[in-house]
Amino acid sequence: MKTDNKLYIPRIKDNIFISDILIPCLLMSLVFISVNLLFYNKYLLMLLDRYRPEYRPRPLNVHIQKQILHLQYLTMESEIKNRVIFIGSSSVVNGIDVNIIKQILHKNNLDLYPINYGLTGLNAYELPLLKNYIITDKIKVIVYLYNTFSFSDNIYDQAVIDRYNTSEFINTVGLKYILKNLDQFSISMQCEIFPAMRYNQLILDYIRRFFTRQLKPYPNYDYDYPPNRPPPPIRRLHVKDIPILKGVDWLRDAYITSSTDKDTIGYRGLRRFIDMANAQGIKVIVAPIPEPDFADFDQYKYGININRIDEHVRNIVKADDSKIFYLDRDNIRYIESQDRYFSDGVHMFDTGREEYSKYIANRLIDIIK
Amino acid sequence: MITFTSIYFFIFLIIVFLGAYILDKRARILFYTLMSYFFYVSFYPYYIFLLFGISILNYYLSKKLAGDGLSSEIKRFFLVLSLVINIGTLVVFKYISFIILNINKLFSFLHVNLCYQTFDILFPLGISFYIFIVMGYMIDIYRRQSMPAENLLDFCFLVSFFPHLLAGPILKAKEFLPQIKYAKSYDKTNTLKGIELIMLGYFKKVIIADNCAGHVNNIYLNPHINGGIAIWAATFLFAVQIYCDFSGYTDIARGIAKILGFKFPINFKYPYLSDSIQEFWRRWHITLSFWIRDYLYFPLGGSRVTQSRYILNMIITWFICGLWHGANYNFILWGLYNGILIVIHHYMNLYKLNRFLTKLPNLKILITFILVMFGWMIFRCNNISDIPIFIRAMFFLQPDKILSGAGLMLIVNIPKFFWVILLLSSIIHIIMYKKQYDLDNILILEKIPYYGRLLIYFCFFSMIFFNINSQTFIYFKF
Repeated sequence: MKTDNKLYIPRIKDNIFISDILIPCLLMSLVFISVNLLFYNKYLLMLLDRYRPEYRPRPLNVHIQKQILHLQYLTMESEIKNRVIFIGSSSVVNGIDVNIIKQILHKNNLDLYPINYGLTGLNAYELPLLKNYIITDKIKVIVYLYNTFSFSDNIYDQAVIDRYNTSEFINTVGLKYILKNLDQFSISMQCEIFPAMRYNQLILDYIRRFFTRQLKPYPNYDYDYPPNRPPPPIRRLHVKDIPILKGVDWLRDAYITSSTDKDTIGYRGLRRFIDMANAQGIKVIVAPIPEPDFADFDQYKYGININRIDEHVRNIVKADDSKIFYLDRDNIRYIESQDRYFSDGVHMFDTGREEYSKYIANRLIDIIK
Repeated sequence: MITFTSIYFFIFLIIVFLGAYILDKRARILFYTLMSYFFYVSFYPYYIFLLFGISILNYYLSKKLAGDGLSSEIKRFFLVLSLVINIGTLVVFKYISFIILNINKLFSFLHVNLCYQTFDILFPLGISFYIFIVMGYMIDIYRRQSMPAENLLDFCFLVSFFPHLLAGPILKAKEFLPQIKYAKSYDKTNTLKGIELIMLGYFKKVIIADNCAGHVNNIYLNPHINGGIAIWAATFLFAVQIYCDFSGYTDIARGIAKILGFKFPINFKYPYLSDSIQEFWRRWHITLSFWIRDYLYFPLGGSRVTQSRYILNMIITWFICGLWHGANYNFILWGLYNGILIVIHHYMNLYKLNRFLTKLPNLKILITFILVMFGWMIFRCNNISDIPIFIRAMFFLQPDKILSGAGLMLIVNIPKFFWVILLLSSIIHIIMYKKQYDLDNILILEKIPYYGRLLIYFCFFSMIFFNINSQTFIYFKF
């Protein structure tokens, strides 16, 4: 169209598709991809890892995302080789002192570097999902310390979007579960591909701390609670006080299915993880993490047959005769019987941590030597 | 798995919008239909055959129904055949396990040792919605209130158009089919209105509904350890959640349709500000309410029958309405609860028993909201055996437990920011209702300069795609 002998060029604003749909989408895609690419940069990860938030007071998903970011950084980091990693739930985060273990290993001339890979609420079905972090050539020994709730047949909802691997999830849990929970898994898949989405709550936490001047380096301990500062005192229950949960509670259900079923996704996950570690030539030690005797009377664990869980795990481990070792619960009964070693039904206090770290380090030496 | 809150949906939508821009009118309908099938395939591939099969079969039967030269008996036969196929499909995929389970229970009650195997059938998403669209279409043709679709493509497009496929609104063929010819995408006002609706829908879903979900789930999982206050608070949050979740979905669906040049019916009109339960059902899930009214309640005789027949009609109607929501006793009970309330309201009006409330309109709204909330408790509870526990707690029959429960702490711990957003949204909602704004005619984006709009879009995208704690839309499972 010509007006006043000049060529009329339609303005972008006149075309609603270009102005209000195409341009915003392109701009946003550009920003989105750029932000995600940043998370593959080792130096940015190092910086974020250095300033990761402490445990309290934060929402649980910030905590879970911070742990995964830490693992991602450790995987990218190339200086620490010959790693012995300790993996398990928050019982491992709070129950393993890598400094004690390092001292004992070095005294025995073992050139191994222990690292705590504990992750809050980790279930056994998640072990294969973490293969990119835990089945690598830098890792020589994996010590998997399980809780008696670890072999649940249910998904740990709080972490499913952060600790996720599509192919391993289909292998371990099955496609049918995904089809029944499509929204959750389409989001998990997104988070697997786009780190900025995986760490969304953590990013908000960094921004918030930056603007409130609370951004400070992570303390030099790995535990959720600072050493020598006890967590809130536990409320000891008596049998008559226990409001028994019906099994609809996630944790209660996890204890029940771990002890009653033999073919839960938890046990399947353990089997698959052992196969993967074997294929990579990594030594695996499977052992129970101490749980206090008094926990037998809390509302989650009440009436659970622990021996049956240990037996299932022992059978899985013994079915494989190569590089897999099982440490019996009998060896840690002396820790489990001491209430003072524990801060609650699943977490050890610093006295328990010290005692158990010495025990596990010595057993590690026996096995490696 | 192109769910509405995923990035895949964002990519899918860009492709659809691009196709709508490039293609000509006829090719566009084919393109939308193919994309809708692709959208459905992404959930569970095999059920595409069900969707396509239902479309072809009903299209064929509708042609027969509309044809001249057939006696009314034969036409009735085709209608009945179509209804049997459609209802049968719904029964097989949605209710068969529930029916078998109840037969087994009945036999065990009669001490007869008979145990039929139940099937673990994966539920085809959106089946209740598209089957209702198809049934409405067939009945309208039989009644000669609508013409059949001109061709199979138009009919497949009506049934499968992706914005309404998973959770409605339930379209009426006679309103939608004529639009196919004249649909004009990227009309400036409609596009901006569509974007506005999409943003409003996502805001309701992601910011409000999803933030309520976790707290509601926690309390409803273990009602016996929660007291009355916690349960009332959770039920209030559920009322907010289900409204924002479902109306949010509808807004997104209507927005997408608007951009592409189609008009979907309104599904919600300020339902929580209704002053009676009858009014509530005229404003909540309007397309379902009207469907049930037109194709079930009126054919049964409606209210112009004897009193006993009227009550029976209401029971049948609300039983079906409850059952439509799912194969579970609590849905049936919820349906009957609403039916009873409407009957009571009907007789109160008839005998002028509620005269004393006429001067207190706000009290009427409050009472209606409380009654609706009580209904939501029945709807939301995980097990029908939990209902007595909820009732004891909600009527404060256990004074020692009124304040008990970790659930109460959860509610207290909801960020203040969320309460502020909820309060502000509620105030805006009430003002809009008082000023009688027509939701379809409010256009704010057009008044904002272009760069301001760009900034709004940017904030909106960030809100959706960096907020990943998204929950499944509640109505997907119906």
